[in-house]
Amino acid sequence: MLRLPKVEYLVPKSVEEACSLSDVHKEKAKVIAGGTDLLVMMKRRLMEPPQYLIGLKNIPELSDIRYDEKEGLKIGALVTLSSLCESSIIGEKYPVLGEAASYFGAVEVRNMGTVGGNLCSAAPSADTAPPLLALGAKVKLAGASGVRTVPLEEFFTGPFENVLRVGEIMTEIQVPVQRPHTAGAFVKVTRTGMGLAVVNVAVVLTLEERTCKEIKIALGACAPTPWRAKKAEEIIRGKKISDRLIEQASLAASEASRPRSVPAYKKELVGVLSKRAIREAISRAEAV
Amino acid sequence: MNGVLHELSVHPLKTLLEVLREDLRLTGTKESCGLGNCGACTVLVDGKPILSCLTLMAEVQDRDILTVEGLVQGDKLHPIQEAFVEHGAIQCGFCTAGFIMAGKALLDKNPNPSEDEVRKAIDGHMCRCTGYGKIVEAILAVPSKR
Amino acid sequence: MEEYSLLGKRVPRIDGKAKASGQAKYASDLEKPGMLWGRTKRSPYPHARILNMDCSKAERLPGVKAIVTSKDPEFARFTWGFGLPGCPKDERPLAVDKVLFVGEPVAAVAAIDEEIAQEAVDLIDVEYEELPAVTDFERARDEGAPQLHEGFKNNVSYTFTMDYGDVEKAFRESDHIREDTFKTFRTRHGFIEPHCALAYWDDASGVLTLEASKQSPYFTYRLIAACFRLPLHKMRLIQPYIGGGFGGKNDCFALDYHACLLAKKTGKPVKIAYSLEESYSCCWRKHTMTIKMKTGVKKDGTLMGIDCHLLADGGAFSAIGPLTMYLSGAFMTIPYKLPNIRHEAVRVFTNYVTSVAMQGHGTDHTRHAAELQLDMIAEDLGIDPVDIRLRNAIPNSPYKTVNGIELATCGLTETIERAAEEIGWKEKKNEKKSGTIRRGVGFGCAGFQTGARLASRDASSATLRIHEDGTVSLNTGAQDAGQGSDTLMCQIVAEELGISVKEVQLNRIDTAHTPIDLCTAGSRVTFLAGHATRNAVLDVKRQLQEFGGKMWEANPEDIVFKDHQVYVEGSPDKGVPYRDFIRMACYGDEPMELLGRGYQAFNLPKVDIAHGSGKPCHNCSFATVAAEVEVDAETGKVKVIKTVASQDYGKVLNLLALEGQSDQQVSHAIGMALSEDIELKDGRILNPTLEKFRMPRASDVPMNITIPVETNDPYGPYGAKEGSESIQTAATPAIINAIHNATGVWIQELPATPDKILAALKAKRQGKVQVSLS
Repeated sequence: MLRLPKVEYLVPKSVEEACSLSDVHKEKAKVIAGGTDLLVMMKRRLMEPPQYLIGLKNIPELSDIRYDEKEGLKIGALVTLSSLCESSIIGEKYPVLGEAASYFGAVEVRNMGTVGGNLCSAAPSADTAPPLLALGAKVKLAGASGVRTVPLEEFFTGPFENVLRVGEIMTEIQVPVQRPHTAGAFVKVTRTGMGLAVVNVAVVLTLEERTCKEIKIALGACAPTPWRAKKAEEIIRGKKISDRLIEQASLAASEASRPRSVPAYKKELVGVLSKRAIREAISRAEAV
Repeated sequence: MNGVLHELSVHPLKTLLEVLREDLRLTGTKESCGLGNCGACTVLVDGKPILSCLTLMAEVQDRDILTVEGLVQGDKLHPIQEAFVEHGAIQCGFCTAGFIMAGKALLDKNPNPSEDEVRKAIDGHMCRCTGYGKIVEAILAVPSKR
Repeated sequence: MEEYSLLGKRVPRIDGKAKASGQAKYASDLEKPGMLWGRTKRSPYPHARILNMDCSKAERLPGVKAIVTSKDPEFARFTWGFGLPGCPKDERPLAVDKVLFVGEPVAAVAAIDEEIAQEAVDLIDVEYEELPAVTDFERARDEGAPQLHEGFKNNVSYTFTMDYGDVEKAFRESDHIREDTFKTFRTRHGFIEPHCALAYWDDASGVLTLEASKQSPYFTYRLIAACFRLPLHKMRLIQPYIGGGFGGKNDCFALDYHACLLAKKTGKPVKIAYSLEESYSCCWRKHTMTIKMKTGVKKDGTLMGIDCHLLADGGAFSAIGPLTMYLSGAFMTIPYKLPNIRHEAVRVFTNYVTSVAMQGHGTDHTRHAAELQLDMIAEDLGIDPVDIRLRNAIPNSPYKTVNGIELATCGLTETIERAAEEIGWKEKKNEKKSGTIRRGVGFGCAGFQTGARLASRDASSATLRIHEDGTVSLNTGAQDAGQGSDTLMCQIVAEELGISVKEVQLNRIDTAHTPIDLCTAGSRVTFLAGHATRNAVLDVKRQLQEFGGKMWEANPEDIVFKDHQVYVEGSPDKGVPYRDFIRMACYGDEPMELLGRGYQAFNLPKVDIAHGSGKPCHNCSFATVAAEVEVDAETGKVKVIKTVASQDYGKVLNLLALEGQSDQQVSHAIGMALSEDIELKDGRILNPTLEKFRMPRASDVPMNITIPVETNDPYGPYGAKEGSESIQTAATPAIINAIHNATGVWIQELPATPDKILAALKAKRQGKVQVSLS
């Protein structure tokens, strides 16, 4: 049987307590959300086990989903992928996020995995990253010395690396209110079943009279971190939609991608999936 | 656990799977990959299917857990278990408990799923013996058994 | 045609309830009082000399009860191999002076719990001298390559050649010749129950008992007995339920030896349970082959001859590999008429885990290549791929191949016709392929021997006892690895006695009580164990018929057992209920003890394995698979949307089980054709876990359609043939041929992953000659 090292398990009841524990123990402690990443690494002995695990499940506010017309959406870091899929407010206001969550993986994994856990893993293929990047999300990081809000784009610094300082915990993901005539699409290719993404793409755009007022194109599993294809966005932003424009933007996304494995294939896939995601987002925006 | 209250004193980092199999001797739930990719360890916690190999005991305090053993009433199999037997959905049987729990969870939520919905619901489960066909048939057959 | 009550029907598994309720016990579910846990110390290098091993720190760890190394006398003197000519005894329970693959066991520890055992393993200090490794099988024979085994020049493990007819003449007389290279499977068995063994010695009787997940208890019991110098009656192997084998749980294995010796040294039961990652990365895999095939045909597509040369990656040891080489050639003469064949199969050693038998065993590599090439030829000549197969199919009448395989029946033609009809070939073959999503249909044909013959005690037997209440206890050595043989054996008994399957209890294999069977492999079980079981029940039935004949003053042959009644033929109303009849036999003036014995050997002359000739089996199954795929021409992703598997089963004995086997084979084939890819680099397996070694999930396979064909073979039990390997062999080429039909590209290297398909499509667009091999 694959067993975990029996390290000490701490159960803070509030964010403040969690931050203070994390600050006290520093690198000796690791925060655990759903456990689907961390526990796997501990079982496979791919890391030196921490001395403490700080479990966040007993902090109720971390599992909230709140929305208001001014502040937009606030998702607690411990919200599970299933809850994202099932949330009616997300289904109504940010359907691309619910869609991405439904492709995350098997139902059991969706029941256990959390948004915060997925983002903090900073895996290049993290499925929640592209839609949240495309929605312009920010993340709230709390530490013993205070709270800061970081645009999600600045959160990832390298494969499996993020800006969290020692003692800091991600508590919330904030998504701004979306403009009218905005829609998004998420496309993912896997090798088999609903597993790891080979490439994933999210596009969120605002369309008025066939003119793209705003667009964000975000991708995963084709660069050291999840990223936005800004050059591709520039090609479409502010212009009238045309097939040629979509082709150009997709090509730009493909050229900007930096996949680490099977580069020729992945770059081609980036172009194809970007094109499909953009087209789908357009047709949804037209229907809205 | 299967309708019976248990008070246990175990390390919080023991997994639910370890406790089921070793402390409670409920060996129906299996460890195959132990890393969350095969579904063999699936049990229901508060009605939701989860992977017990990646669930800490610390996380299941005061929860309702259902395993494959808990579906049996006396000597009688649950309709989904019966369907698996009748439809030839079991060969080596090592993956069976996981599929049965996933199937039950799906049917509790969606009593009349389509074939596509069934296949998606069991995507986290690995079977090397049946090619999935008869497992899908068995789950689809349950609504009419009831 | 006989009408059967149970045979041919859909009979649910007898162990279904036990498995569905979680009560069936597998090796890892077993526990014994005082049981210790074992863990294994493994080599971190692909090729290295072991200079020194220091176990002192590990020995001192509290909770550690014993450590075993290659210095222990039982291990120091013992080597083993598969036991066939060409299979040297090159394996040891623990590496002695060299390690030959990453993960090779060098020591094992038993402790009071698994965590302490693992801690102790980490405390064992081993000093290695790393050696250059052979990490690419195509370079294993290069001048200057490191030599892995003494006496095996250029790392050649085994060479098999065969030459029948006159291939050069055949090519001279051919109207069209093709030469192509193909690269086959990079996969492993993929069972989901990891290896597990529990061993304990009984001081009082001196019996060593091993309960382990095995397909072949008999190989293990002999080897363990030899290793520990025990007479066979003191070595007892009990078979729990087994979670799949597919060829990867045959033979004795490292953990069996380790568990037994640790149990001996500690005096306590010892359980060793591998993780799935260990089982996948440190145990066995399927051979990978590069096949150069040259085929000549007449302009109407009639096969004239094949010249085939292949190189196989054998991994670190010999194991069953030489037999795999024989099989890769010997069965090329089915399923089509082939008058001339020359074949050379070279197996080389590399510093990776050993390649062994896996469902399809050897024959599927060359059949895959040949089926692709046949489609290439058909396209060259403008012949329909179904027609070219019909033209060459062995007919359904007595036939002998040029290398001595004798067939009484061959239902191939009917399977081709049925598969083509069900997939809708007539309507689909002329469909235009354009746009992003392209559909295509492909075919593959294959045959497989019923009952692989191996050396040693190649037979099967069964014993049974009818209790006074008419219920039956059955003992057979045949192991059910999941394929449903247990149920079939009970069906056979129940059918002959006119009772229900529920009244037959099959005892689990226990070498103390169950009679001989060689192994569950090579599709032997239905044939050998089936015949043996049938002979056993007929044996006791004859005794009962004698009794009935005396009682009713009738001819014993006229006593009928049907529908729980026993009566003289023609007078069913004058009979008695079966249970009463049995009581009468047991409690009459001459009380009977109702025991039956049955035995079945192949009763065939020795096969010339060295030259690939002789009659290796009594009959062969034949199958055609038609696959329909959708290829996304922009992403390269292939979706298999429909599969039809039509097989000549001889006689269908349990339709439910055969359909299950058909589904399994198609899903394996989809995996092997499209996604399974063991990534080997510099002596390491890069993807040993399920996350990155991708086998199909439920959403990757369609609902398979199985169409049985019956030819009532005179040699099979009740006319039956094997049901587990020819569909898979036919299915992998069907999928690749379907991809070609959809897109016009040939993928000659497996797996046909999206990147290869996109690259091939790009090359086609650019008008380049496609070279799809790396």
